Amino acid sequence: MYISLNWINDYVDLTGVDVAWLVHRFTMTTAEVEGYETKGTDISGVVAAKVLTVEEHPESKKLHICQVDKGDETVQIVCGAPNVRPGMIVPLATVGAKLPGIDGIGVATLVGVTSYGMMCSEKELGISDNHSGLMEFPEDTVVGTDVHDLLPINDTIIEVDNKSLTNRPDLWGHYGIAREVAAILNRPLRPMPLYDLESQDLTALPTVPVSIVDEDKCYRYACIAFGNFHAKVSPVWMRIRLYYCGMRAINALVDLTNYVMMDLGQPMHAFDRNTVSEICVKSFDKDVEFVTLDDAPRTVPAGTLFICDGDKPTAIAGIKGGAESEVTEETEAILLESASFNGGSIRRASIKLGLRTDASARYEKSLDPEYAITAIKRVLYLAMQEDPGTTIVSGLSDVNVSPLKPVQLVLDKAYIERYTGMDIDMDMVVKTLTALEFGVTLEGDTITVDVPSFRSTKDVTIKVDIIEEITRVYGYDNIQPEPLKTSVMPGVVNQVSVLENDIKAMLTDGYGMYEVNSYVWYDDNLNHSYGLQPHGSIHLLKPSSPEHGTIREVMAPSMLYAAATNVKHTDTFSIYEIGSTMRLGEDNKSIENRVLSVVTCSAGSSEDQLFYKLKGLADSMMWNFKNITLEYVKDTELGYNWLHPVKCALIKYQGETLGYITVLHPSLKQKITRRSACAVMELNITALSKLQAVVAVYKEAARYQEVKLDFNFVVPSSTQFKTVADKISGYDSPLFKELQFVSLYRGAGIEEGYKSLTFNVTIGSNDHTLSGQEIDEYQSGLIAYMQLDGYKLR
Amino acid sequence: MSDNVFDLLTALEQDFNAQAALVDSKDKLEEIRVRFLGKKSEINSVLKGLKDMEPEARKVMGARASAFRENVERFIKSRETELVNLDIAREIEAAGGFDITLPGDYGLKGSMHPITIVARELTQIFTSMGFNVVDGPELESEYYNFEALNVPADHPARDMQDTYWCDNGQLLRTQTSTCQIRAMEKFGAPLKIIAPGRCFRNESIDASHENTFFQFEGMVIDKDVSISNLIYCMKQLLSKFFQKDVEVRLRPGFFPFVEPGFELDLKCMICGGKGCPTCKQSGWIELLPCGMVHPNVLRAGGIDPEEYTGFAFGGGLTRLAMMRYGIRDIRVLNSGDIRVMEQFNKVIY
Repeated sequence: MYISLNWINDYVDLTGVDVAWLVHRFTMTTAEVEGYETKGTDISGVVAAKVLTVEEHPESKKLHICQVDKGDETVQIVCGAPNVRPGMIVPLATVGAKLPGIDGIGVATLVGVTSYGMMCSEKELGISDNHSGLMEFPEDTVVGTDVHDLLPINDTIIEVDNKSLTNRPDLWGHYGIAREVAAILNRPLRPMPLYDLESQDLTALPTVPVSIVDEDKCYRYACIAFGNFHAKVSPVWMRIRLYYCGMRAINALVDLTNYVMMDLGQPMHAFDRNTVSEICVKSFDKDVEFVTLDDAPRTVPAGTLFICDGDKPTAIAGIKGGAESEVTEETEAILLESASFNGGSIRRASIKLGLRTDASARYEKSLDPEYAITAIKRVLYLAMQEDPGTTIVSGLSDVNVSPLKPVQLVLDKAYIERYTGMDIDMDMVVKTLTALEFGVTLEGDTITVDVPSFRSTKDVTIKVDIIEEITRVYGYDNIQPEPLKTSVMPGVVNQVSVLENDIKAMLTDGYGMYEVNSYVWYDDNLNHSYGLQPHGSIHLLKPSSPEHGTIREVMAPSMLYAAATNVKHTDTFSIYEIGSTMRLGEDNKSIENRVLSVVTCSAGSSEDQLFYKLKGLADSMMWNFKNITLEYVKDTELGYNWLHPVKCALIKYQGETLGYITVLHPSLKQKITRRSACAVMELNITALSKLQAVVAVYKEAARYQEVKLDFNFVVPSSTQFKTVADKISGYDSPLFKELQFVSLYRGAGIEEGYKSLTFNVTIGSNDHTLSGQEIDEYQSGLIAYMQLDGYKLR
Repeated sequence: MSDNVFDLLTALEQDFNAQAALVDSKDKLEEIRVRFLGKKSEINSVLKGLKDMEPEARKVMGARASAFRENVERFIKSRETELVNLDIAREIEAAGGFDITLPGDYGLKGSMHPITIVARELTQIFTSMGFNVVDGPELESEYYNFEALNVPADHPARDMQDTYWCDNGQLLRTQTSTCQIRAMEKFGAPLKIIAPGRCFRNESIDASHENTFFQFEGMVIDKDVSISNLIYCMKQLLSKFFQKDVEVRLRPGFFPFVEPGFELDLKCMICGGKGCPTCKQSGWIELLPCGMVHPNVLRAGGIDPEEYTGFAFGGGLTRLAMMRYGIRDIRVLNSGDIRVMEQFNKVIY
C-alpha cells in the first residue's frame, strides 16, 4: 500500500522529521516498509504561463505556434496539444527545466519553427496519467509562479508491505498509519474533519429502507443520499494524492469515495438514488448472472452476499458494484453506501468469484463497524468542501445487527514483566497505549485497557495483544537479551531421527553413497517411460502439474528417477534417500512411514554382486544399530513390477517385513539404465526404529590358538547356501566356533547341475590347544556327516 | 710358548686390520665376526694356550688378547651401525622419484545432502542447549497445520500459504509448526524442542521458489519465558551456526500462532550492515519469523497460558543451506543430480 506523507501530515505534524528515520522506525514498530520515493523534486523550471496568441504552424496541421507570457518575458512555444487556446494559463517548462524523465528542456526546432520550452499536460508533470491536453490553471493564477507553489507536487510516497498489514484492519487507510506515526513521533494526532451529521435534523427527509437478511455476513449497513453535488472534477490536490498512491482519478464522485477509502480504510459504494428504492442485503441459493461496474458479465456463485434493490441484485457486497445502478452524468441524487461485512465471508466470496478488489482486500481484514458512519461523515464533509451547495436528501439509514462488543482487558505489571523479561515503567505503558487511542486506567500496578473498536475486531482481543502494543512502541531493540532459566529436564531421544542420522553417516562415509532429495509424489510421465507401476492411495486435489498428483506409497520409484538422471553422466554410483511414504489407512487417515531407499548402479559389477552388496549392507546396518539377524525370503506379498522374479528377497525380522532387496526386473531394466547393472533396496526405518536392540554380551577372546579349515563341498545347483551352511553348523562338535562363506563356483571341474561351495570353519577349545589328532578327527567326522546328505568334498 | 702367542696375536691384529678395511657389507662383517670372535677362531686357540703359560706372561698376553677381542667387538658394533645407516640412506635415495602429487586412493566418495548437513549442525547446536529433536508427519491433518495453530478457516493467513490438499481431507504440511502442537501433546510443559523437516507449498518453481523445501521449528515453554529469552536464544543459535558473533534485530511480524510476532533480521554479514545487493541495500537480512507462543496455541497443546509462556521460531533450512554454500538455484536441491550433491560433504564442526 502506498502512503503519502503529505496526507499523513494532515493528521500529524511531520515538521523536521527525517524520512529515512521515520521509515526505519515504522518498520521496527508497525509494519515493513518496502521502500519510499520522493515525488516532485525532479521538477524544476516549470512556471505558470499565459498563452497570448495561437497561430497555426505553416508546415504542420497538429502544431501551433504560441506566444506565451511566462512572467519575466514572452517566449515562443510550439505546441501540439488540442486544447491550446489564447488566454489559458498553463504549466510551462522553460528552457533548462527538468521534468520526470527529462533532464533539461532545450531550445527545440519543430518542423522548422523554434520553440523555447514546452507547455505540459498533467502526465508530463507526473501527477496523473491524463495526456489529453495541456493542464490548465485557474484564471486568477499569477503568471510566472513556480509550479511547486501552485500544486502540492512535492511528496514522499512510502510503500508498506501489504502482507505485514494482514492483521491490522486499522492500517488500510492513511488515518490509521498517521496514528502509528503520531505514537512513534510522540506528537499529537489531529482529528479527521467530519461532517457534523448529528446536529442535522433529517427527520423530515425520507429514508431508504434497509434490511439485512444474512446477519452472519453483514454486521452493519448504513446509507444516506445527497444531491446538488455539481463538481465534475476533483480538486487537483486530491487527484495528485490519489495518483501518487496508485489510483487513477475518474470523476469527482468516484474520487471522493476512493479518497475516503484510502483516508479511513472504509470502502464505500455510490448508487444512483433513483435506481434504488429499498436496500436488502442477502444471498441467493442459486448462482446469479450479474454484470459488474466494469461491464463484465459474471456468474456469481450461490451463497455470495448481494446488495439488492428489493430482490434485484445491484452490487456484490463488499466486492464490486453493478453496472445498472452506476452513477452517471445524469445522476441527480447519490445514495452512499457504507457497510460492515464479515471478513471471512468476503474473503471466501472473493476467492470463489476470482475477483479481488481494493474493497474486498480491506473488508476481508474485518473492518471496524464504526467506520461505516465515520466514512459517511467524511464523504459529506469533503463533498461540501468541493461544492458547498451539496445537500442531504435522505435520512441516515443505519442497521446495526451485531454491534461490536467492547473489549476491556485488565493486566498488571507482573504480567508485562513476565512476557518482556524487563522492568517496564507503567507510566510508559499508559503513555504508549494512550497514543494508540486505547482507553487506559492505571490503579497501582494494574491497568484496565479499553480497546478502541478499530483494533478490537480481531487484532487486539486478549491480554497478550497489549504486550505487543507496549513492546513494539517501546522498541524491541531496547529489550536486553537474557539467558533462559528453564528447569533441567531429561532429554527425550528421538529414535527415528537418531537412526536416520546414523544410517546417513554409515551410507555416506562407509559405503560412498550419495544422498539425494526427491518429491513425495510420483511423476506419471516417468513412471510411464520407465514402465514403473505406481502404488498410491492418496492424491493431491490440485497438483502443481497433472502428472504429479499421486502421493508415493513406495520410495523406490523416486530413487529410480534419480538413478536414471545420473546414469546419463556416470555408470557407477549409489544413491539413497530417507523419505516419507504415505498410504491410506483406517478412517481415511494416512499411514506414514520413513523409508530408506538405496539404488546402486555399476558398470563393473554384475547385478548378482550388487544384490549381495545391498544384502551385506542391510546385515551390517542391523548389526550396527540393533545387533539382530535378518531373514531373507522370497517375495509373496509386495508384487511391485520392478522386483526381479528370482533375484529378489524380502527383508524380514520375526515375521515382520522390513523391506526388500531386488535386482531390477528385466522388463524395465533397459529403460532405466543400459550400461550399468542395477539393484534396489528399501528398508522401513519407522519399523526398524521400533525393534528392540540386542545388547552384545561380552565374550573372552580365544586364549588358545584356533584353527581355520577350508571345506569345499559339491552340492546340487538347486541346494541353497543356507541349507548347507546350517548343516555344517549343525555337526555336533564341542570344537565348532564359527563358519564363514568363502566362495561359490560353477564350471570346469564341476559336474553339470552341481556347484561348489567353499566354507571356512573355525574350531578351537577354551582350555587347550588342539592336537593334530583332534583336528583330523573333526575334519573326517564333518566330511562323513556331510556325505550322509550326499554333499561330497571336492 | 709366549713368543708363539705373541706372534700369533700380532699376526691376528695385522690380519684383522687388513680385513676390517675391506668390510663393505653385513655379510663381510659377519665373516669377520666368525673369523675373529667365533668358537673356532684363532683368538680362542690363543686363549686356550694361555693356561700353559707362566703367570707373568699369561697376565701380559691375557690382557693383550682381551684388548684385541674388545677392539674387534667395538669395530663390529660401530661398523654395523654405519652399514645400517648406509642402507637407510640408500633406500631413501632410491625413493627420490616418489611423487606426492599423484592422486590419493580414496575409494568411494559419497556425500550427504547439503540440507542434511545443515540440519545436523543445527540439531547439534540445539541439543547442546538442551533441546529435544522431534518430528511429525509430512501428510498432516488440517487441525495440526492450521486450526490448532490459531489459523481458523477463512483466516487471511491461509492466503499466504498455498496448501496441497489431498483427496482424503488431509494436507501436505505447509510448515514445521505442526510439530509444536504434537510436541506439547506428547511432552507437556516445560518443553524445549527443535523439529527439522520437509514442507510443501503449491508454488510455481523457479530459481528461488520450490514446492518442496525444508524448515526447522523451535519452541521453548516454561514458567516466565520472555521476549528477552527469545532474543538471547536466537543470538546464540545464529552465532554458533555462522561461527561468529552476529547482530540481530526484531521487528513486528504477523503470524497467527505467536503474539507478539516478530521478524528476526540478521545484520548482513557480507557488507556488515552498510548495504549491498545481498541485503537489498538495507543492511539486514530477513531470516526467521518468531514470537511468543499464542495463548490459543498453548491451550490447543493442553498447556495453561496463565501458568506457562513460551517462544517459538521457524526458519528455512533450505534457505540456510543455500546461504551457507552459495547455491543460487533452489531447484538443484531436489534434482537428485550427484554432480551437485557431491560438492557438499564438508561438515563444519
